[in-house]
Amino acid sequence: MTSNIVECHQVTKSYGKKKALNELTLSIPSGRITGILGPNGCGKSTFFRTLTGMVRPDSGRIEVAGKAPSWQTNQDIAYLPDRARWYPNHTARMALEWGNSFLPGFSLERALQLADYMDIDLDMRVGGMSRGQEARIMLILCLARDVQMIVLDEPFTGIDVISREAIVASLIDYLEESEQSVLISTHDIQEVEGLFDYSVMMKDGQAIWSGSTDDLRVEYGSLRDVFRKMYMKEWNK
Amino acid sequence: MDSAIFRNLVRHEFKFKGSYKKSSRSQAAGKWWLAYSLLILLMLTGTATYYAMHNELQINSIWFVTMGFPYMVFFLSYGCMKREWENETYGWWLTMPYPRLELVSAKWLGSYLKVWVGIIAVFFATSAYVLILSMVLPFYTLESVGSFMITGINWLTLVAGLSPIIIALGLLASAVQSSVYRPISPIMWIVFMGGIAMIFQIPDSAISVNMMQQGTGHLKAEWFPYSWELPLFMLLSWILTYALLRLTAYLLEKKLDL
Repeated sequence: MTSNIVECHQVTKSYGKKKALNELTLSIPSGRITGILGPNGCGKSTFFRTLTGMVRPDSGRIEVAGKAPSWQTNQDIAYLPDRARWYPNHTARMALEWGNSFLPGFSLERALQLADYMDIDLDMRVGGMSRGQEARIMLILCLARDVQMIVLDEPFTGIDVISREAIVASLIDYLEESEQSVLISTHDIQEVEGLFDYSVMMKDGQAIWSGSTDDLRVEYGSLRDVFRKMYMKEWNK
Repeated sequence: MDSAIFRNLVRHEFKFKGSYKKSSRSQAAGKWWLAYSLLILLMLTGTATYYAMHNELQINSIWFVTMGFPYMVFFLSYGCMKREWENETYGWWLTMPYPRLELVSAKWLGSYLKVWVGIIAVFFATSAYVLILSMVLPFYTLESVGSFMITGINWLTLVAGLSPIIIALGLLASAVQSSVYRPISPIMWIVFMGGIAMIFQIPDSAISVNMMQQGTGHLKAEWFPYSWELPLFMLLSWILTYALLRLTAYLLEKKLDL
């Protein structure tokens, strides 16, 4: 087993003139809950898309558990895409059955437990749910998998405070005992401050700081203060 | 390829998974759509029945109503991939741990099954309508019903046989729109729409023996009014279908613009 779940070396991905990833060089240790932090547009989602093989870098080398990202490596990754939705005509139960049919390592039993814990009505159509309820179902699809790495891209965006609290509570309960490597991106760190034991700060497609969250706090104070200091310009917008 | 997984993928694609775009329409707008669709169906049936009652309906010509089928097939498959983007489910779809060719092929087969369901439903519904006319009105006989069904089978065989490539074109058009080759989409649309229109030339071409005349009742309906060139043409189109599916999978694998 490699000690780093993710290795990036000078990875660049451009969209026209904009460099979403700008020679990103980064190592993320295995078995940690890692926060990929930074303002909107700093390259977090592009980074996650390259991890899951949806986007191919223009240059550089990227490895997930020692392998180049592809559909094969996705067998070991539970990925919650950015701004994702679920099929509106599915009920929650159908969504979980979808996971059971197609996602390696998916445990329907665990998914049903999580659904019960997150107060999901299994017979309700996703199209009739609030964004918060829908987000919980998508989170269950990721958390109910026994895989090496869980990647959650902005899991709290557009979700009401109550659902957000429920999601964070389940993440803390579930992930703290898990040995999986977890990557969570967010531009809103208030509620998730206590969740990360490793942090990567991104800006303009580069990792400007990475290390133990405790070290970060020692250096800068709370993560909220880190945001203030590192992203002063974006923070003031 | 795991056959159980592929079967489940096809089943997933065959089901109607809904659209946030359509559900965002107001409930009243949805009802108006339904009302207009029923009105059009009623008008078509009413007009046909009126002419039938005056012995002015050449029943084989009812099949001309289905001339838009090839385009409907195209938009069915185009929509089935486009909807992944519209519904913002493409992230789930594209990160499934299966080869892109398998994912695309499942969409293709799911669409083809829908086409078959549509063809069979239309065939039996229109045949039942014509059968009722023959029982109620003195102008139509069971022989004319048989002729109607033969003409329908001939036309729908053409649609079913060429649907594989039309579906593949729809998927390709949708994939191109999400790829780095998006700028060529308008040209592609013109070529594809024009290409599908060529299907309507087939009944008048050398590979058909006057199918149009059978449709208008100028010739007696006969089984398979095509020459041997048509099956060959279809076979070639199926080989091309495979190439198009591979191209679509390649675009989704290596040329996506997300």
